[in-house]
Amino acid sequence: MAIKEVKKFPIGGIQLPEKKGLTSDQAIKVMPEPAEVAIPLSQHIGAPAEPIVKVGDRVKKGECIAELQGKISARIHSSISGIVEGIVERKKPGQGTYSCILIKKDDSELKAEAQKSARGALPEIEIIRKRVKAAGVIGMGGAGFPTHVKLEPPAGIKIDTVIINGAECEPFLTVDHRLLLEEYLDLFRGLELIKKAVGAEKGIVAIEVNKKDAIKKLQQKAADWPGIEVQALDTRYPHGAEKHLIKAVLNREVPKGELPMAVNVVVNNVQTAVKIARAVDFEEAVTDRVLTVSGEALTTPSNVKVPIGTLIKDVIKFCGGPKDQQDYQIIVGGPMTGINIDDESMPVVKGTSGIVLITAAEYADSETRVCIRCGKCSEVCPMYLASNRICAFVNNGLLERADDVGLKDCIECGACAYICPSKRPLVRWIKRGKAELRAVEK
Amino acid sequence: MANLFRSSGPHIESPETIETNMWSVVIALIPVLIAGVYFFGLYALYLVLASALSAVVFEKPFVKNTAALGDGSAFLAGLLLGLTLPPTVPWWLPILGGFLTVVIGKHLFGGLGSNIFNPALVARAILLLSYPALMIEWVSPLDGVSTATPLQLGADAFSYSELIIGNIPGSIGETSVIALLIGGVYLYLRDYIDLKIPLSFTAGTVGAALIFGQDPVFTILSGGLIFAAIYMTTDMVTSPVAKWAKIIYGLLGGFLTIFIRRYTPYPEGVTFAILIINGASYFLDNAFETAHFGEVEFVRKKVAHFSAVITAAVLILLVGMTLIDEEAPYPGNLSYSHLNQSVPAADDFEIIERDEDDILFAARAEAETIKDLIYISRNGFEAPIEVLLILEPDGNIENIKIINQSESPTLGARIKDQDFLNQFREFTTADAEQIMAETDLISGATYSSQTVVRAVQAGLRLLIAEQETGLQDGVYQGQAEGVQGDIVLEITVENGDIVDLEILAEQETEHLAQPAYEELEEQLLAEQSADLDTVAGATYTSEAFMEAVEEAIAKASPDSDSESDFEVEDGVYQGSAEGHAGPIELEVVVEAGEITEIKVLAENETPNLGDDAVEATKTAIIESQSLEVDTVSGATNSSVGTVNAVENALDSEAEAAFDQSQTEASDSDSAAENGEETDTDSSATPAEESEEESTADSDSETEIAEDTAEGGSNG
Repeated sequence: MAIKEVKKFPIGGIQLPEKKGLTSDQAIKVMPEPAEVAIPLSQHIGAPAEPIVKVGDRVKKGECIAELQGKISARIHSSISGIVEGIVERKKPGQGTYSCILIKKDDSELKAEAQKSARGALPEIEIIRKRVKAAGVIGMGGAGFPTHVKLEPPAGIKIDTVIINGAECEPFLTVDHRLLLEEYLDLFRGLELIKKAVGAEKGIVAIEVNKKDAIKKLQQKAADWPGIEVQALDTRYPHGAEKHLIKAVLNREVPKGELPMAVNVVVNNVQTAVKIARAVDFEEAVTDRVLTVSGEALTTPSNVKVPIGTLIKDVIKFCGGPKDQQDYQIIVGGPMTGINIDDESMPVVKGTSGIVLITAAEYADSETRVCIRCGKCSEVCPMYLASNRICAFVNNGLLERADDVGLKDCIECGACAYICPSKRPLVRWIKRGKAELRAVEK
Repeated sequence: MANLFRSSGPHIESPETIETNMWSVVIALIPVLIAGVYFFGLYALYLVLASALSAVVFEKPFVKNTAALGDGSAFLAGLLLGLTLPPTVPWWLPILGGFLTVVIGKHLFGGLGSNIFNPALVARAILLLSYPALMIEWVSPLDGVSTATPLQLGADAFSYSELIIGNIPGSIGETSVIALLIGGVYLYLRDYIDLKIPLSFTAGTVGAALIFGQDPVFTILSGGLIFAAIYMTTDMVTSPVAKWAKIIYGLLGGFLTIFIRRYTPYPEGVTFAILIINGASYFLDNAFETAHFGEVEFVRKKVAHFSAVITAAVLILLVGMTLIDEEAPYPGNLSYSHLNQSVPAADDFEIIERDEDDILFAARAEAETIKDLIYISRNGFEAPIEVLLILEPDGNIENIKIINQSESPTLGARIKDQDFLNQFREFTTADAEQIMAETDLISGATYSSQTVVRAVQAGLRLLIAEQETGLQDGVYQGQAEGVQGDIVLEITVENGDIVDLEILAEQETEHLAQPAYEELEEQLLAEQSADLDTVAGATYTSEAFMEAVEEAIAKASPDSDSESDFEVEDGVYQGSAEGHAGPIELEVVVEAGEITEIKVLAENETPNLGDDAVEATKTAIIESQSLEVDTVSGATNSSVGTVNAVENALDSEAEAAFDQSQTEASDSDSAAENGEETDTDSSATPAEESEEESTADSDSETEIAEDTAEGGSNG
């Protein structure tokens, strides 16, 4: 059957080369537990978790090893069974350090799988929220907002729709695609739980049309789930940005500076919904995540379920390592918004959606040239900004003018920098401008 | 190795570069170039390439780009300039143009991305203003015959299909709309061009054309407008980025183009219109910034303010223009640009004479020679044919142009053919009366061609009349009675002007009169007339002086019979010509160079219509001492026959030349008349000239009679 009614947001956006063919047909592989993990204490928005174990403690897989600090925070659990080797500071890419708990695997006491109880009626709202919090569920699309907070909207806010973000608009990444195909029961269940928790009547799973098989399958399966719809979206970057997702699906525009709840909507990532379902129904903690390991420079591009804290170099090795004679860059996340790292001993965290090995030839490192005022940046900007103007002001120290023309409105999606024929690093300049403006405003 | 600056995204980039953008436009221009070379030859190819390569070469000192042809931007700018050049410019002009484009138009402003104005148009404007004569020499395509562009010739000069295919005179790349559109479609499909500006520019042009009462389709298809809309207005560096800024930019540009075409001497308008809106780009971008996602209030306020400002400005402009319109400085379709095109080196055109929009006589003073331009409008088949003559001081016709005509497209319009018009060159005022006999009329378009001939004739006659109102060279005496005796004086006339005065005898009070004479002489030489101011204290002396001068001047003036066309000796002449129903025979009496009497010997015209017309016509001839009299409405043939009969009577010399009956038309309400073929090749009635007999009491304004074969006649 043909896919009817494909929606999209009206202005801006860009078609990127997808490169998803490398992994879109691959079922999720489960990576065996690594010998050691480094689990950061701050994988989420908000205050870092506080460790509740010390060096030398023996921990089981799924055991809580750090507790929430304050309201906006999340629990951290061990992803393997073993001994706590240390609680250390490590360098981040760029500036700063992060704290993490090092655990070394031992073969003792392999934790048995949690008993799967049959899924019955939806539990009470309070139970849902409690279990989500206990499981340490955070937004797995990359931002890492503590989910239990999202499931408890402030008094006075009425949520009418929950949207599951199945857009996955970044090139290379196919995590959500595979989860939609393989874990749709968990997904639908998770969606129902979210709906109950926030009090919404409607649930929509939004999927870009480059995942036709997922759309068709879910449209079929959703027939059994009244109150859940599947909505097809045009393949366009950045459909995955939640404000643009809402605009496309419901044609509601989240006002500047506000959150989706301002338009009575809650948005969740596919994998988050899956984790919610497992957390609530089986009290399963978040100890692993599925991510796409891909890139033209990788031997075996795959979708892999990886224990949290696994070092990136081990993940790459699991996928066959880099191709011979290939010069490459490692991107954590997607190639548009991900981070370029040079330290392969960084760990996988709850928000790591992908590891991409981009060949040096593909990598964007062309020389920066003059702005020829072609206006492409303005055409593709989903926030309707003119990046060339913003950057002109930032680069000349005119921060207030830059603010006037939308410096703070930029969602840093990178569409403008991608399309710029003069290869100007617009997003980097905007990030710098924002930082400078924050410093000035303090 | 990741460094601080490089750690965030995006880590992939699109394959588009500055080069792909620039060279794509170059590729899009290939059909245009091919069309240009096809129509104008290989020299055109040289001109275009010379301009492009010159731009590349002159840019070298300013850029670090190591590629042979640079990053494509200089080549493109030079290419665009080259395509806007007339195919006749000298070899060095495109080289200079390339220099101007990159050095003045681009790098003076800071190089790629920093220039405010379109570099190709900057160069073009400089060339236009520095070498106006070189930049407006057009030729017909394929045969290279010198001519004028469609904009100059008027909306009826070429068919729409000719304008679209490009078989018209113009700049090398501007003429073929089809070639231009092919390139435009290519750029659009490859996503190198945003259609907002070209479409709004065209819309602005159409809107303005409608406001000014011009044909919108012709407006778009001429003057390089499509070339500019697709390739010049869309120049990225100089055009705005924001959506509404682009739209207003385009509308403004289109409107300005028509405005400039209408009110200034520059025929195309686009060059300067675009340069003007280039200057507004930055401000438009500022004013029309789009509201950001999530910001609904923003747009409504700012755009509302600026919409109001712009609407007000446009309204003021429109109102102003309707006021300007009432002054119509030139008659009919004559415009300043016609005069300027004819004599480009002139600064000023002094209007010498003007009657009720029939003949305009403008004399222009130039550094080297004076040229006279005469505009004549005579009724053609249905509407006036407007002719412009350019004459040299000795009365020699240097050039002739048809400003406007509405004759039949296939036949009558041939009066614009250079073959026909070239006949008139080298005629002088001395030939005025023989013109009709000495020009070949266009077969199948006798009436239209005759109208042109008559127009030329009228123009020459006017010039003759002008020339003869000057004083005749020589020394003349005049005298008048002063206070104490006669004052006798002598004036010397050279080249038509009074150059000297000498008092030969006088007896006035010396200490009063002498200063008066000096002052009066000064005035006389300045005013060139006897109408002077009296000197205080010597009033009567002054008046006597003036009287004497007047007498002398009267002797120096040519005979006041100059308005007469008649150069015959006194006598009694007989002549006859075809009227409506038969020959009209007249006897004409000439005394002292004037027609004093016309007697009707025989006529067979329609009673109470034709015969009255004959009377009225002959009276008119006597009164005006001219054959150019109004025909009587409803009885054209009778009037015309009368005139012809008089002419035949007087012009015995020219009689031999008149093998066929001639008719004269004047300001009647679209009276159509017949004429016989000058060539024998068409015994069938040509479509344009076929007419039918009308009844005598027909109310229609058009009196028509059946065409006659040579030599025969039926009523």
